[in-house]
Amino acid sequence: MNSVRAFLRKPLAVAALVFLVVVVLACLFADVLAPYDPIAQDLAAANSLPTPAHLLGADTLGRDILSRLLFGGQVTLSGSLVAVLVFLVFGLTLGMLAGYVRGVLDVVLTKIVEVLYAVPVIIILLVVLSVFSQNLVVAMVTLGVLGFGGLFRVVRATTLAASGELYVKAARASGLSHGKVLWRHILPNVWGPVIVQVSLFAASAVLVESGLAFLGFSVKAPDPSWGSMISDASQALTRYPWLLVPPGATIALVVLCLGLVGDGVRDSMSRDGRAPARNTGARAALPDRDVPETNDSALLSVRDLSVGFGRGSDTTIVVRNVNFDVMRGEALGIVGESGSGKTVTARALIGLLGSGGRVLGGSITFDGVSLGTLGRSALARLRGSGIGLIPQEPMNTLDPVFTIGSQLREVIRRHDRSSRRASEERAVELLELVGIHDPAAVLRKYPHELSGGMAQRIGIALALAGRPKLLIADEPTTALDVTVQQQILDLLVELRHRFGMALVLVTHDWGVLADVCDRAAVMYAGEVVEEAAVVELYERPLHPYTRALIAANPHGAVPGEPLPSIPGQVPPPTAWPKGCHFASRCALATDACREAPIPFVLPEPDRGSRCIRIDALVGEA
Amino acid sequence: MSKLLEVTDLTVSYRRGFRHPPLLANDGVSISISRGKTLGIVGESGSGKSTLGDAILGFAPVSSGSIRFDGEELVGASAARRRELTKNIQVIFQNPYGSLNPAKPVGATLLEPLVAHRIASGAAATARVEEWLEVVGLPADAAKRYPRDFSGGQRQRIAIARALLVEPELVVCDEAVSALDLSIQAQILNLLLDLQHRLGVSYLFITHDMAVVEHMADRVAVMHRGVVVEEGSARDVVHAPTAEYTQALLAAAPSPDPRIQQARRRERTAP
Amino acid sequence: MIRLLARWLGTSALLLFVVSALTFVLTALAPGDAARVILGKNGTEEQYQALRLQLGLDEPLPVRYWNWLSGALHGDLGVSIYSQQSVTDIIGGRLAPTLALVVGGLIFSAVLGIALGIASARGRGRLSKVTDVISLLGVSIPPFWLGFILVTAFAVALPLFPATGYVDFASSPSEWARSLVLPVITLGVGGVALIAKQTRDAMSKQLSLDYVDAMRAQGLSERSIVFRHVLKNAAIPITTVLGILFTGLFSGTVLVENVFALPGLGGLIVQATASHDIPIVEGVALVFALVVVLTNLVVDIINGLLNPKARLA
Repeated sequence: MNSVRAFLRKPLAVAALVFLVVVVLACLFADVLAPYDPIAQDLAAANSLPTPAHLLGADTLGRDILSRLLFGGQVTLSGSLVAVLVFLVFGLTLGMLAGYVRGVLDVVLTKIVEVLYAVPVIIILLVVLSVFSQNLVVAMVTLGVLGFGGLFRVVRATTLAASGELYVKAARASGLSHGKVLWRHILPNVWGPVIVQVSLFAASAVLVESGLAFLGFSVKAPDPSWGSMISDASQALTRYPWLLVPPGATIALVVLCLGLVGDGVRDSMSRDGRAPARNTGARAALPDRDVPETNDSALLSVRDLSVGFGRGSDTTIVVRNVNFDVMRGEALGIVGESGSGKTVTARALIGLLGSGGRVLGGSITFDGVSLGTLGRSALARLRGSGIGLIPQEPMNTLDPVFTIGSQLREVIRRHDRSSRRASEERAVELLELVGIHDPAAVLRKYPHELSGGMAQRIGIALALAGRPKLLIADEPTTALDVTVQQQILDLLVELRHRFGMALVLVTHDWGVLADVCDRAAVMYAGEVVEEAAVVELYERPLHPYTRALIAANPHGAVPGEPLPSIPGQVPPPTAWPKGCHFASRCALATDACREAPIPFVLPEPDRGSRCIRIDALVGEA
Repeated sequence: MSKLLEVTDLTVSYRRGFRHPPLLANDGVSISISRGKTLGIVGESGSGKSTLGDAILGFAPVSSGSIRFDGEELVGASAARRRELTKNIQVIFQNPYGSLNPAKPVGATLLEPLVAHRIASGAAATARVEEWLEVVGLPADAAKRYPRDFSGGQRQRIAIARALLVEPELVVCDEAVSALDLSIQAQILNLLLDLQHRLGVSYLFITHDMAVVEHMADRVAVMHRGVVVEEGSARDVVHAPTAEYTQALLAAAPSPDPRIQQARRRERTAP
Repeated sequence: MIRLLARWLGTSALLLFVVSALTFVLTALAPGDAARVILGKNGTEEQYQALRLQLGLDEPLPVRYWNWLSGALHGDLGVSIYSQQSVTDIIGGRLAPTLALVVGGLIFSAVLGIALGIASARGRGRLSKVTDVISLLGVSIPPFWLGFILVTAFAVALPLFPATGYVDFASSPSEWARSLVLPVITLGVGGVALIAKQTRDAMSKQLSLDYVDAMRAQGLSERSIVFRHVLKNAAIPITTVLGILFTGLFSGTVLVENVFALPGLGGLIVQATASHDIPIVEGVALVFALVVVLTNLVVDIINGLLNPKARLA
């Protein structure tokens, strides 16, 4: 239902659908609508351009072109319909069968389709026509049979994907029979792709039918069809070019509209086709008076950083007034739950916010240089050499079609401007550095030949290639098993100490934070709510959110007893309240918390908190 | 007291085409669950812990061994009997975004098991769905909305309602809280514990997280490469592990307490 | 590589068998056999029986197919019912214009399509919309109609190119080229649309993948990321579509050669179809099937070179 509504919101696709309906109806009722007999000759009107009597003109024999178009459409459209029906019946049933039953049936059907796909369609149609001369129905049935592979593949893939979905597994676990599962959970997935494929195939059926008619394999003269009208018109090409226009434009428009309807359906099928939520209004950045200006002794100093996605009044702020410093050689953790803005903050540091994202305010100072003042190319030079990034999904961040060696050497040459040989040696050195025992063999491998842990070691080697002073690691071990995580964290700690690198580690895992970081910034709903050394933070949190989050950890809780959980959920950026973002879930919240934005204060040296109820918090503990 | 579920010497293997030997996902696994209790299954990826759950649910090809539920042998049971048994054995999956059909309102998804098992129909079924939505902490009008209108934690509440509204005796929780944030995870764990107290349901709680399993389980089985390497009370397994692999697993999981964790790191990396 | 070749051989043999057997069986089902066609309405029953015997039409269908097949394997496709000329010779004489047309069409579509696709994937926004419009129009306009429009514009109104006909390369390379310009454009426009869309989609998909941002974070230049990494990854689906396009262009010659009166294979099979000259129809169908089979091989080899995963499989 939602897809239907989404489709109706696309004016072009709706217009195309309306046009198609009008054309089909007009041709269907040609007997009533056509102003003339399509084969009646009126030599007086021969070759006339459009006139009130002949709205689209008349051909060389004085036959009314509009009437011929309407009657000719019956031939072309009914022929196409035959092909589409065959295509639909074969493709839908066989595709769902192959995708759901799988096994031998699937293998055999897929092979048949593979062969059919490769058959030169037009040629077979001509063979069929050479045998069943002038019998277009047989030819169009053949077209449907030869073409159903396209639909088969899509239906099979959709069915296969849907049967692998957890909700199908869950439906079976609920006790539904195979028939019910197919009908209720799989078929609804298939309809969308089917409509797309049918409209595209209908478009090519119209083209093929009119092509065959143009070659003279359709109706017998003087009966009209769209293709044969073009053929007729081409006889008088040099003298009366107008005759070409009505049939050609009609075919092109019908095909175009079928394509537009197909595209429209495809676009409106996206699962979460919900209209994007509007922002509640971009608020002006709120300077935090309590926080000193840029810290010159820090390697990285972030002040009042705000990040938004979207343009103009559609901008949604996702990170707001973030402040923190990272000293040389220090490890800062940015810890938070999903939707806290921790990853966006990390990406803003290296200027890689992706499409639509931009820094709205504040400053990022790295090694004494404000990144906001750098041009694109200077920023690009800084990446890798000043600041290195260790990504979250190691496997996805390697180029699958180049060897590890080739990717590593490219990055090395970019930073070192060294010879091929020197870069080769450096590549080996880097791999040894990240604990790979057989560097020469690994350099020759492709990403898909590596394990997850190995891929993350390569990711670290790539980040180290430019000898950065600061490493940013975005959930570097989230995708890994805990024993592999330990190895990677050990490696990170060791490398950091060896090269005196600073580290910004983004994580949701308090264990990883405790293991690797000196200080931590806790983020909640786009804001840093607390910053402190990790020991202080864990033992004496100065923000209700930090305290509640630590308490919610089952680690060290009494087994079987209810955990002190935080009620409710994180508000999305579009629903941030005016006051404290945590107020609705906070036991200590007062009216003052909800009234105005909460400033970031420094209650103790080297500690910051975005809370006005610290006294109550400390008193309670 | 007789066990609710007894799995003995279970072997599950997946074919991997003609040129590879079959993959032994479970190799002689034996576990058991008492009524109203929770058995935790811990392991890393590839340990076969999810395969064990699948085998109990009838989704994995059992090559040998036995799965006895309430005294009844499940290996070799007919498809029809299997379908009946879904009234007694239910499941909650890891990914709350994939386990609900995005095209159906939540109410329709929740009605399915009730109708399939002829437990209730019409207004009675609708009432029951609304009652369960309230039990899991969602407003009654949630039935009319679609999965995309809910957050991950709320979807997991819906999945719990779907699993429990037929009042099964056993629920397989396959990494049921792994995808959730800490604060939401605590909510869901509390809900599961509360429902167990109220309904006396047994859980097979599959997870990779030692802290979660210690909190939830009465007994724990640790799996590694398709084999159970250690089984015992949750307390013993977590605090006095005997198997080398369990020890490695516990040592690798970092503690959220920085003092403890940094002491452990110093100890471990000291020459 | 050996597995790839074995797989290709299997599919190819199956395809060639299916196409040739299908055409053979279909033509055998035809009302009125070749002997009847040759003799026309005036032949006597005696003449008819004699001719059937001479043509081997009295033998059972499988035997006839086997005879034809073993002949085909030796390059003998029989003789035309009308001209009595060897089908192999006729096809050989018609090959050059078709090849020139198809290769020209492929180059035209590939160069223009890939350039347009890359530009719109990089430029996003407006250029992407332009590509959408071009690709929709390109596949919607019936090629035979487009041919006449081009002739009206660039041969009649503005006489830059000949309206119809073909000049041998040997007799005049420049005239040969001029005679091909309009047919190549007519044939290739749909291809430009197809390739542009495919390139744009493949590039956009690659550009949205994580490794692109990872490379930016490593400090690689945008040029290297787009033209070395993204393009090579996108080349895999593009090559597959180029293969489909190539065989599609061969089929397209059936219409385009007719519009421009080019003496190629497409025109030949249309004439043969209209006049029921079965041996020629069978022969050309076999040639087209061979083209498909060889194209698939080339595409598989190129994709094998581009994609390390396919190489191992």
